[in-house]
Amino acid sequence: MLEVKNVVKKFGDITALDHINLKVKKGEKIVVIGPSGCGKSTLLRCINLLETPTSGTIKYEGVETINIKRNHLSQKIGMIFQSYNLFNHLTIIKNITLVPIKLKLMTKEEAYKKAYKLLDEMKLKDKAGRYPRELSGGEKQRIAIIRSLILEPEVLLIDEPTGALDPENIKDVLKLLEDISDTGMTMVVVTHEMNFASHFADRVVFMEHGKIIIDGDAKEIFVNPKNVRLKEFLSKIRS
Amino acid sequence: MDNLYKSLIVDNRYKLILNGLKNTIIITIGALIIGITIGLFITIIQNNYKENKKNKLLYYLTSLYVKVIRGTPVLLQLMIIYYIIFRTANINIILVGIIAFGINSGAYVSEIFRSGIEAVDKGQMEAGKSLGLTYWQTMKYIVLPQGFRISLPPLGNEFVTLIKETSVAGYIGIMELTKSGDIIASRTYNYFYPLIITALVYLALTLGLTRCLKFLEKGESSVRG
Ligand SMILES: Nc1ncnc2c1ncn2[C@@H]1O[C@H](COP(=O)(O)OP(=O)(O)OP(=O)(O)O)[C@@H](O)[C@H]1O
Ligand SMILES: [Mg+2]
Repeated sequence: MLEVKNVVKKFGDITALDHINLKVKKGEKIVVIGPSGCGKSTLLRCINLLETPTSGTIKYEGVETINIKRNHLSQKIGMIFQSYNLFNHLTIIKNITLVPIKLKLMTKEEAYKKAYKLLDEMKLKDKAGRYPRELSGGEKQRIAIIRSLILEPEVLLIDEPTGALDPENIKDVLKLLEDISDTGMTMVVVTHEMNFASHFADRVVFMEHGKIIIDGDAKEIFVNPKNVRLKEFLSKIRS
Repeated sequence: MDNLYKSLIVDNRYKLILNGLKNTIIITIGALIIGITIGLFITIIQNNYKENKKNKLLYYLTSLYVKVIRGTPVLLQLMIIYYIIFRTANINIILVGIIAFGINSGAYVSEIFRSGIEAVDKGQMEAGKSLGLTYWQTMKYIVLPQGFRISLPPLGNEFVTLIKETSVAGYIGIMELTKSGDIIASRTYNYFYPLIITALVYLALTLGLTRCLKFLEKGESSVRG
């Protein structure tokens, strides 16, 4: 459903992505790993049109994403950031309902109803009237996920969702990601949580210096990594 | 005591002070409204250019405007507007003051808004876009409201500055507060009371305003933060 073809992204003389090819099938759970600065975030940001590739194409169900309007794209591809990026000046319920209302996807009543239902399911209903700064990091990240889910995307791109959290909060967020995964959602997750990655992913993409070095079955890669660079990376991150 | 009496009571001179005060307030508030409007437009134009590379010409024109205004004295701007631009027009002089100080203030307010918007985390715009809002929608609903809130304290300072700056308006014959004090002084051949009283009125105005703004800010941050 998602096809990244020969994508190159340069920032001045830094090549953040160096001819990336990646096909994502419906329902797949892909975990992207790799050392800091290898281009993981840039890859997700290019897919989500937050960056424009220097060259190459990205297609969603056969259509180039640069030809898709943002208000349509967000109902296909959702993005979760490491820093949550909740709208600081709005309450939680407004954070969740602003976009579907402004994009005229729902009436105000529908949006609120749906938002409360999602909040309720995640036991966050009592936070509806709060401001983001009054929430813990884990709560903020779960709200950010709800805010994306209310638009019913078909793919979720998730960039280090627990990168800024303490262990207790990490557990909550990862649990939520697993619940979403169980619904059949297609997910591409950048993470350093190898325990989570090894039982969540069916496919692992290992990047280095803007290139995809390994792209393969998760079990094989985690149980018996053959590539020397990958082995090195995994042992570093696990120690 | 006799001088104080002469300064305020004789010929109802206190009315001169009140009238000056009224004009100072009218000019300041009018100028602030124009300044905020101009400042907002400039900020939007300049941000649109910086983020989307759109409207290069407008960007350069507005940058030039800000540079010219900030690089020349306000009294000179006032004189140019009055003696050159509105020379032949039959226009209320208070209105000239409002326009001149408004144009002046616009440049400073645009700088205030610019740093306010720059202080809004980049992630806010990215989140808006990734959720499907356009650049303009994200500006309107997400970035500008936050930038404006950050801009409120310096905007309050600009308010106070304007009150004091309008004192040069007397130069082209506008009867604002300072001019009123000056007139009373020259009529009574006594400078002490008229000028001190004028100063006290300014102080009451600026200190009172600063108090109010502090109070509002506190209320604001305790509600939203
Ligand atoms: N806006 C930018 N301007 C200039 N260089 C950038 C920009 N964004 C990313 N880069 C560079 O591109 C490279 C890839 O960055 P990216 O953020 O994609 O790495 P990452 O794999 O996500 O790293 P991390 O694990 O630390 O998040 C880095 O060298 C980074 O410095
Ligand atoms: Mg990253």
